Amino acid sequence: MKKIKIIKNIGCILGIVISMGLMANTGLAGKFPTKPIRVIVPTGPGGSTDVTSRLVASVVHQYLGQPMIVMLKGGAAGTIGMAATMAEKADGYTLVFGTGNHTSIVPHVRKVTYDSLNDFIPVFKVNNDPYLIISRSDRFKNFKQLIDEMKANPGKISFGSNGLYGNGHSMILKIELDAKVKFKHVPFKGGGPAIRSMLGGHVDTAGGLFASAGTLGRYKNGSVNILGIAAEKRDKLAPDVPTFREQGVDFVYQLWRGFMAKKGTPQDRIDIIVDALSKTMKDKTFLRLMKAVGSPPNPLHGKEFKNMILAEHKQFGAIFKQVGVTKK
Amino acid sequence: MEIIDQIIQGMSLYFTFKAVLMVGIGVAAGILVGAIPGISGVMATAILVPFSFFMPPTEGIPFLLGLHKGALFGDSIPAILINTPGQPAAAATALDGYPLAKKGEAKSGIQMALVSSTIGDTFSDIVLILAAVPLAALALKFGPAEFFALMLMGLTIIGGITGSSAAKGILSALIGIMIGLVGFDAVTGAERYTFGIPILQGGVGTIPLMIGLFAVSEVLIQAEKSNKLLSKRPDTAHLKGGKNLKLKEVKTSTRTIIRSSILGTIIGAIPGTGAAIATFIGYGAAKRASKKPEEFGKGSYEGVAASEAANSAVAGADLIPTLTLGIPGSATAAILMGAFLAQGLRPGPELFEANGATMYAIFALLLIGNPIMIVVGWVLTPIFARVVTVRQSLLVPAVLLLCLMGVYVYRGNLADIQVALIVGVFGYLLRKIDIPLAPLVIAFIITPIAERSMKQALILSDGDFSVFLTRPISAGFLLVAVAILYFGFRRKTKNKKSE
Repeated sequence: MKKIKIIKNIGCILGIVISMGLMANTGLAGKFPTKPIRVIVPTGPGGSTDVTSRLVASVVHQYLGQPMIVMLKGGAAGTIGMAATMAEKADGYTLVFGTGNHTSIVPHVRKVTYDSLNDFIPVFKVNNDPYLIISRSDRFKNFKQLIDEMKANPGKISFGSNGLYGNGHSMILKIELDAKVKFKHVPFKGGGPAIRSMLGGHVDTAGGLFASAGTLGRYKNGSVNILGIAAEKRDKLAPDVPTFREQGVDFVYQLWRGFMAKKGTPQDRIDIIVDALSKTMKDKTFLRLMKAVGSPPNPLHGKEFKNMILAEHKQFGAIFKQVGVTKK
Repeated sequence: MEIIDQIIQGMSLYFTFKAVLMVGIGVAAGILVGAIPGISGVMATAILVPFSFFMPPTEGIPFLLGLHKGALFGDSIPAILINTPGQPAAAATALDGYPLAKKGEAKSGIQMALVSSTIGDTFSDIVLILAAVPLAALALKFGPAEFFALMLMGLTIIGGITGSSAAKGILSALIGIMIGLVGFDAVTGAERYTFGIPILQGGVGTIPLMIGLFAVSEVLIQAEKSNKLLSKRPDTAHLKGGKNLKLKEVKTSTRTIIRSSILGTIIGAIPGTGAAIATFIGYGAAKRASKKPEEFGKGSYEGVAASEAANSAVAGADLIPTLTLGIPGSATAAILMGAFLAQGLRPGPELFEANGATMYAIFALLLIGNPIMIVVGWVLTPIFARVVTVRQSLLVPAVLLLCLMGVYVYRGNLADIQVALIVGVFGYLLRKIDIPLAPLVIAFIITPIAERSMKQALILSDGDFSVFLTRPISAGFLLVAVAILYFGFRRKTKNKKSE
């Protein structure tokens, strides 16, 4: 008797789940947008991507006439969120707010169910931050010292990354190729723990952004040195720090954050979204919030945005091919 | 003298009636959203944080501080009332809180959680305000080897909370380790036990696991009862949630609260360890030291106090290292850090230099938030406690629906609901054969951190295992772990002989 009841109750649970799945959203024709736009953020809560998306959403509704609703769909290096976007209709009511990691790195190292270049239309880039390599100031003075020491002791200098084949790991793979050196790579779960370990002297170097774990403040007060910056030209925040290119490593990587739509989304709808976002980028409240976060908007859309992603995708493809990384 | 100037300046800016009111509103909002079964404190914080974007800093920052405290306490309410902890640390609270609610003492149970968690929070606030900078320096000494040793010590604590049978407790912990290993290997990238299912690549989600293990299995246990019994009002309904907490109950738990507060503060000062480990260590230590260890797990006020004080000592003061070091120690702190940035407050070493006045005001508001927490919590508790008067036939489906919605909100994936249901059936079977669930949860939380730390340490030492013994902090933890095991087994054999 008991057993039957248990089975009955499991049946009830499944019934609830199935009916929840059937509550699919119904599309509406006519003027765009007539209902809120969902923005899928393929990361966990609290990171810079999540924060940026929420700041945009908090202002853009004034120019869009409808709210943008941020939905976090993190997990599996962003592939779950990207795949979830592909499962929605290409009607402009679902966008994904991703980064270069999702379009240009992950598809090279993981099996994914989508083509990050052809299945998505780059809509609008909001901002970007250059990737950095940092060390304690009592460990390395500059990039040259780092490379010299690595040549003297191959495989002895450690680098803490934010994860296997993540942003930081990809950066040192390129440094290894161009400078003919070898790091001892230690993957952490996220950039914060990696930087903390570097500060504690457990690893020699770490990767990150100016905004990561108080890096800019530590650079300013002299406790850490930024050894190289993955940008085309030097950054206003740290004009003394040479770019990687200046130091013989051909690596440019600005971690950008931006909106993409599923392939097939009508161009007129994309234009409406781009227009609203362009106005948002000039909004006083938005500029104040972004300035506070430390990453002012640097908008890009249309062809230029697409070309940037293509170049980035190519760069990482070449790196992983040379290193011999296969998809897991 | 500059410091005094800064303190005065900070007070005049932030210490207004409005600021204190905003702390209260934040606390209330945090409790109400955090108390929804299936919505963890982390989720509650994420949901409520955007409200602060449009407040000026003098209101937004107090709101966020209150929210942090409220959301943290909110988790313990469904843990006590309906055995549905929203996060792993609250699982320890449920061990004794739920039996209390079943006895008809829900109200005093929640009040015990409120009082002990506020004391733990206050204690660690004071310690960290005074010593945040030296403690941060100490925390930096924790490298991968030290983390591994600390996690291993955490695992041995399970021995103290296993209940009647050590074998069953160990079995439960082993299952937890197995589940904790699911997903990509963080160091080699190998896929383990995922069966090609995308949702499992990043590991089993904490929220689906917790909801499945506790809430869904509880529903199935209730489902065994006859319809007649379920549609009747509960036996304890006439108590209307029970009496208020007596001073005597707090007094007998004083030593426990202090012990847990100290343990929580020490462990909490190391970012990245998480409240769950400190909470279970606090609970285990209280059970060992208690005069009535046999009451633990059956509705002991001391048990509730032990876990809540430790939990709040870790998580309540989490903000202080986050602000001074710029490295968030938990998911909640990471979310709040983003919100602080939007308020123009840049956590990290330069915060003291650039925003000294604001820092002292934040410290003061954190402290003043504790009595506000008691007042708001005390007012709201009787409302929540009335839940125990609802008949099961209405309560159980409502809770299940809320929980599954919470699982979906967690990261917007229906597959997580499937995980929760499968884990739920599994948890039900474990409960039927009397296997305790707490060791499973703690092992599940510890395993990924322990494994990653061990591998990191071995990369750095070029594969030399002696690194765990030659580093003094690491060796110390391992020694304590061995001692806990030794004394644990000795007591068990002694008990057997005396029987």
